[in-house]
Amino acid sequence: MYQPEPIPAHAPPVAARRWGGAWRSIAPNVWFLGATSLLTDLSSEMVVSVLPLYLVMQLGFSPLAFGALDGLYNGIGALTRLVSGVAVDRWRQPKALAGVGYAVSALCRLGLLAAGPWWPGVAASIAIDRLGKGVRTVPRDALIAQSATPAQLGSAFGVHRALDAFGAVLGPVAAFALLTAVPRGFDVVFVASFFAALVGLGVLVLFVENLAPAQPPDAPTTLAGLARPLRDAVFRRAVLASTALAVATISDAFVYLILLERLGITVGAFPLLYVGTSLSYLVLAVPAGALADRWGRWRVFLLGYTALLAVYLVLLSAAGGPLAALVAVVLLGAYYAGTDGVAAAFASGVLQPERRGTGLALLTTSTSLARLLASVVFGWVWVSAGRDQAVAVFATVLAAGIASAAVALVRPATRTGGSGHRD
Amino acid sequence: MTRRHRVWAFVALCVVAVAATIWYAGAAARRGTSNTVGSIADAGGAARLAAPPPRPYLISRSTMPGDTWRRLTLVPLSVPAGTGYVTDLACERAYFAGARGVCLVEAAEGLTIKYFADVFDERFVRLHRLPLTGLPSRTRVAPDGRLAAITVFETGHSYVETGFSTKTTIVDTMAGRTLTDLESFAVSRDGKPFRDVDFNFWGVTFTQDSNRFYATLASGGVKYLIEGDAARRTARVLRTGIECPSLSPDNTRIAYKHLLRADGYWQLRVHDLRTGMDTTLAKEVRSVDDQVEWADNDRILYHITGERGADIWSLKADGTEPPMLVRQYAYGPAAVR
Repeated sequence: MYQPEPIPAHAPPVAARRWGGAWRSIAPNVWFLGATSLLTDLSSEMVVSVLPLYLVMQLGFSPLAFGALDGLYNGIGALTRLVSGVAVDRWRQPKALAGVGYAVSALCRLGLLAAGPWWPGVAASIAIDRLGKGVRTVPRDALIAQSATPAQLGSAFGVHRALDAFGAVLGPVAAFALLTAVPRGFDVVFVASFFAALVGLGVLVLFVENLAPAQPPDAPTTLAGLARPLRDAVFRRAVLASTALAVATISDAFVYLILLERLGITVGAFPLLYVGTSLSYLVLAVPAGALADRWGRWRVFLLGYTALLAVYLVLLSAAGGPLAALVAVVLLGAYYAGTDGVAAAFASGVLQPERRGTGLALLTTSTSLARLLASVVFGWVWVSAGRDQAVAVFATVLAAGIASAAVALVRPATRTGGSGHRD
Repeated sequence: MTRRHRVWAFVALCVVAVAATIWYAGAAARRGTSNTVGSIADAGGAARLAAPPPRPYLISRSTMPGDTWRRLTLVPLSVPAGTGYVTDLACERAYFAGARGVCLVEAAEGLTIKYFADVFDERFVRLHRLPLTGLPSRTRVAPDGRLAAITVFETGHSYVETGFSTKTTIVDTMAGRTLTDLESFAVSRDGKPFRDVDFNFWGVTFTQDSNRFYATLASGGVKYLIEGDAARRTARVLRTGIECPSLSPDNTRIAYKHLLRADGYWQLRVHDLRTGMDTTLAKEVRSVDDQVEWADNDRILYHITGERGADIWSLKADGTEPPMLVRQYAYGPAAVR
């Protein structure tokens, strides 16, 4: 992997005039965190990509039970993030906290191996893995924010998310390569996944520096102070807007499902759509982050949601064939590139450093709960009114959401210098 | 620890991780080959039959962890819990009648998963392989073994509640080719043509003449019992509320699953074609999501997926007795008479 020259965490802001400039001035801490995420995502996607196969096909699980468990896990993850976010601000040990999260997930692979076909063991292993993911997400993002200069938050998150997405591409490939080499060797996948996670944890422990805000918080952070970052008007609007837009999000699984139904291809192609989205995300994450730093983070964020709107239009259009699937998958990757890391960069830029953990936790929890709600609503509209009607409703709501968010966010953000370096 | 120490520690970690993974994969690969080659003799402690038992016997898919996993296993219908003959066929779903069987196979090929229907003979040797367009769901072979019906999930295998779609085809097991898709059948309801784009067919059960069949047709959220004719490519709607029909050997009754609650709770019932009466098999209180199988004219067989795989249970078709455990670690029963 390309290793940049070490740069002090608080180097003076580099005006990213050249696109390559943004790339080169990313702090080593961000690269190391990215490497940890790459290996951990490789590890978890190895398991995730074979899990439906393992549970439904091998263990005779009902697909409905699997879906229900998945919903429950997402809920667990969202709540854990809140607690972990407050803990980051209170103890100011984001590296240790992230390390615990990564270690817990690594141990889950061994749990999966030990559980064998005993399903409560399998379910518990997955639940604890999500718990670990919930614990590590916020401290990791707080570390990235602390390692980057305010002007380069977008690029830093872009680099991290690109490495993360690279892991998500490699995971299924590695898993299916192993299954081809050792037929029915699900245990081999779990073992390889464990060691990948262990090496990822090694990168974090050995190379990532613990960086916490210099000044202590003005008052001790407690769970009761969870709402404090919301007192800031810009951040409050950001949470409101991103939650409102998330409510109009059709989850990937549904998008892929509609694509498969429209194109009439076999369900075996499902992993290809998934890998394609990750590839697009991987390629676009860094340019999107750099663009966000130069042009304004909320603009890029709204552009990301516009890409999602374009996905809906592809789903509604009469166009079919592999080309439509390709366009949809590329746009879906662009949506992730424009929203995920960019939202974290925006929030990190407007939040006071000592309240970043709590603030990031609020943002990610509210958007992921909104997405969960959106999935339920979408499924319900699909069943009661029809597939295309459901997509049309979501497209209308999303278009209205983008327009109102543009009015509410882009202008004030520009005025208050919310994109970090505009003053 | 200096930076140099940390780098060396990391290199050591990587070496250990890679070496351990390769060692484990190598051990697993050797274990895998020793299990698939000459597997019937090497039973790992559990005794196995050296030859298929005489008819009538029960075919099911093993869910026992280990080297018999997924393999079709034959046991005498009189002592179904005991030692079985383990075939070399590994199937998601299977059925056998007359002199032909169908085994629905899932195979990972690189990044994608492919599905096939393998037609096999009474020696459990594959004769034909037909590609499938989706996840295997149900299969039945007509009593004379010449026709088979195969249902796959084309979409929504994990979203049963929100718009799934199934495809049911009729296969010529002798020639090894697909004859027709139920969606091309002329369907009538109350004497009038009945057509809709959202037609989904599944759960075929053949009659003794090996041409006519019963099946489920779903349209507009309603599930209909249909009676079809494979040669004429026609079908007519008989009634609603019957899902996954299974015809008794004497062709007088249909055992089926009835959706009691929208969250997926299915109750077993038996419909008498002579009297039109329905009997609820209320002694089975668990939800049964399976196309049941008749052991003989008095008892039905079905699997229940539990904590550690699936088990096969049996129930008297008149609903008078509680369910009996027939065979543990087994899935998808098919009685071969």
